[in-house]
Amino acid sequence: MSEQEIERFTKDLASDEDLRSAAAEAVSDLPAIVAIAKANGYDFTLEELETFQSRQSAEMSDEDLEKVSAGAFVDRIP
Amino acid sequence: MVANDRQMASRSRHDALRGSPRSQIAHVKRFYERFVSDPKFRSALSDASPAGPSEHAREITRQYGIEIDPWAIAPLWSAGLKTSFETAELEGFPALKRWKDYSGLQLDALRSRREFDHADWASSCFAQWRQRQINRVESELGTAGGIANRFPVIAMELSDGCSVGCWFCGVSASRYAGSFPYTQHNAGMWRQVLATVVEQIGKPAREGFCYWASDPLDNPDYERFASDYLDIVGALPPITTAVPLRDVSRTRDLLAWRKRAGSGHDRFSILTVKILDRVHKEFTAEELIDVECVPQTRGSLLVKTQTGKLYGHENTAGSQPGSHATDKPRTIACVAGFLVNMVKGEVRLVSPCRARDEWPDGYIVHRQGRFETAEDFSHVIRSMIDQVMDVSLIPRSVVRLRADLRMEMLPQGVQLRSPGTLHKLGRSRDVAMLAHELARGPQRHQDIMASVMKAGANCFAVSRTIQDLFERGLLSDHPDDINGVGSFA
Repeated sequence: MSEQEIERFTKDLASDEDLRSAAAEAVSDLPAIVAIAKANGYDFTLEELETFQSRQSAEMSDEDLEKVSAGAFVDRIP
Repeated sequence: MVANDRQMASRSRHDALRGSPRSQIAHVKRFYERFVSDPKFRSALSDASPAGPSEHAREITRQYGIEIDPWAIAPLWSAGLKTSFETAELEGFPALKRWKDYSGLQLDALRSRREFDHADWASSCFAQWRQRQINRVESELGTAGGIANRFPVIAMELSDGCSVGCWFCGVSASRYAGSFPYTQHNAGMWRQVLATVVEQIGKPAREGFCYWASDPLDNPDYERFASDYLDIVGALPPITTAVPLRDVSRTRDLLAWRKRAGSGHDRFSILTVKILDRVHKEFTAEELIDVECVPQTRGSLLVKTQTGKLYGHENTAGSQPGSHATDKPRTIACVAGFLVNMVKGEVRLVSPCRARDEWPDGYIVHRQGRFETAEDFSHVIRSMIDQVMDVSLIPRSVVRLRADLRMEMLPQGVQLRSPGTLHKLGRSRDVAMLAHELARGPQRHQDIMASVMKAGANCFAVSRTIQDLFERGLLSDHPDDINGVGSFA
């Protein structure tokens, strides 16, 4: 249930500008993120979020990677 | 010239006849110093043995007062200087093996003194900041890039400038302008400053030392200051001096004191072959077994680092006959912490870096401050720890990769390449999205997060990756960036 809640929260961040703005400002402050989520009706704990964060994110397919940068080199990091 | 059976038989006899293993190690070391520093010695050995082993080479070595059969250590020199060996190459050369083993133990001991327990630190912020600098330096230079480094946390100068004026000085020492005398007032202040160092840094301050762009022996009261350091900090600081012959009995007493205190690894900078002649005459090989004689002579085989006075002198090897400057990006700076000058009342927070136009002396100055009293000193140190040594990025931090990193987005994943190291970040979708954001240029932390959230990324994984990049020293560590006042240019 909690994982679904975190995924729901993550999905809504993409479409809800106010929620995204509040969460982006909290950045890596996970307790603050949990508080923002709770205030907006999402139900997960700090411990559950930490477990979620520690999981490996999915491998990107070659297609995905090529979409992002087409195998580019970035010679100068601005 | 290579060793043959006759040589090996001779060697074995020689090894059996000559002095104790410790004495043997000391004389192999002395041979090495002579060979590296003195082109005439190298030439004489070569001329004496044009077609193979000869008694002449032994005679020449004896003339230099070196009590080792050169053929007993032939792999070290007979085909040109060689100091790295496979185990099999040392078979039949026990004296050489002993010296290599002894040198390896010394290096291991030095490296082991780089690590501290968490409980040793008075400030965990300082511990984390130093580790981040170590990560960055090793990324910039590679772990083999001249960094057999303990990353000491403090160096305290007791003089302003250096009386020696080496033309190659890697930290651009200025001309000697005076010392900090051990007056009653200064001694009281020094002891309070040391107490502050212990209070705010902790046990790692034991690995500190009392020189930088200066020579410890320029201060006539050096021993009294060092005694206080031992008393308050808990260790007798090591010395590196280019004037070991200025007062031989003083030097000898200092080395003996260091030995009694259980300390090791002091250094003499050997500037000329004549100085080497005198050092080898005044001190026995056994006396200097734990003193590194750094061969800085003009004909030295030692590769000089192009920092400080040699920075930007690409043709230095040509303009200084016999010198061997290198174009590899290196530094001789070691301190990741505080440089304190007691004469000028100056504190700088520094860390080593690849020498570049902005930092030609091979170290970054993160902050600097002044002090007139011990109380000032305490305040300056505290404020530098508080203002610079952040352990994580804040929402308004400017996130940008280090300027020397080149990002490569390849089918096998995202990687960052520095002149010294390749960092593989993986090929997850979230890493690729972050890479895309980083490639767009410097952005505030919170803006990157908003972008990846909008794109539907796992923002928690991205957040963790940004923190990981920060801790690995791959992001700009400029305090203005971390504090969110950095520019986006």
